[in-house]
Amino acid sequence: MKDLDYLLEFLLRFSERMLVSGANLERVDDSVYRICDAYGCQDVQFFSLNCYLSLSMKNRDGEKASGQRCIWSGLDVHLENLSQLNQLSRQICAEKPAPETLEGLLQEAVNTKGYSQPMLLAGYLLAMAGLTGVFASSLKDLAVILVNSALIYLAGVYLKRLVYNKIVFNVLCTFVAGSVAIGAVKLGLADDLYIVMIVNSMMLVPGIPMVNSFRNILCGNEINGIVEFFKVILETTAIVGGFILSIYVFGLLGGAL
Amino acid sequence: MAEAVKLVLCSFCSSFGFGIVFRVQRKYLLLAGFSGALTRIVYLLLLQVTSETFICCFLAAMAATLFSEWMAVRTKNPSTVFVYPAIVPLMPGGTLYYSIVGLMLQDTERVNANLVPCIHSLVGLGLGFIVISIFMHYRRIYRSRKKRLLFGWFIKKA
Repeated sequence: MKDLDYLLEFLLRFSERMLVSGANLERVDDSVYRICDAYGCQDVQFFSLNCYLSLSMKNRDGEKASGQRCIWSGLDVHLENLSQLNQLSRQICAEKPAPETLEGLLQEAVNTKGYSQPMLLAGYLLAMAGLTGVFASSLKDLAVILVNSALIYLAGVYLKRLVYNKIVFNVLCTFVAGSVAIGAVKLGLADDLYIVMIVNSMMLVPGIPMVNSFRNILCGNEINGIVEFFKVILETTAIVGGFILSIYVFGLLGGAL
Repeated sequence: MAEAVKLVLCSFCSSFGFGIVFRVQRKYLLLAGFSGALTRIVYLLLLQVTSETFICCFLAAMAATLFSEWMAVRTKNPSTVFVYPAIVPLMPGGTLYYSIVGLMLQDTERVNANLVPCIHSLVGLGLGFIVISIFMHYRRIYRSRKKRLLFGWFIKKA
């Protein structure tokens, strides 16, 4: 492989990791152009969507390389990885290491220790407890919300390997969470069914992509913004669909909504 | 007042919790919680002045982004690391949820009551980020040019 090919392969993988970790398109574009500039690449053409990357460039001798990459894994916000990748981009621009070593540097950057599963669960529960306080609900509701949050979290860890489609996953999760909430209200273990459902839906509502999609639209990345916004609408519809399904199944529709 | 303090504390907890969920580095978790509390304080203060969702979200997002950009420069991290936990308290999850419920049940009244505030919040948040991001972007360009000019002047002198 030539140096240019190594650089191209690295840049595509680097961009993918950045996007999956939660970076904005604007930041990814900026990093790619900076690195290309550091290595003296010319005529750099980079097109990026959250699910697709395309890059072509020339070296000083006029040799050309181009490549594309589809991003199948969805957004998995990992801000520590993002920080490491940002540091890596700075380091590469400053030191310009040999292109064949870039892949190893990328692997080092994304191999962060991170949090353990119980810690992540505790984080979810704390976040949900905070949101429950914002919605001013009772302690009984809080207990049911925490149980549901733990269920959704465990489903996210174990079920996601089986259910790749986010829409189907959301429907399944919210159907179970809705059923638990209805059961709890019927047994007198919770007061307000809707508060429980809304707070639990906040765990699944794609808030970051929603805000990013609007940011993309306003920043000039309209195609990505529109596609992402429709994805957000579909995923949210799935969340609501799961809850409504549970209400239908348990025969509460009518006065309940 | 007690209600406001409770809201600020809850926002701190939710941003701290989401900081863990978003896997922010341990040393920045308190900052993540603080950024959420700060956003809520700004939002609550703005609510005293106006009830316009768009204005409140716009200015609160500006405050959150400004704080995040400042922290990003200090810690040499991308501003995203601090922006995400900071905006959690402002996310219009509830109104989006109710809008979709309304759409699914063909309840126009519910859609009208929730979709418009939801879009106002989103546009406000998006614009708030962009205004500060663009300002910081040009500030960085201006500073690097200024440095380059100064550097050039010293070289000429030498």
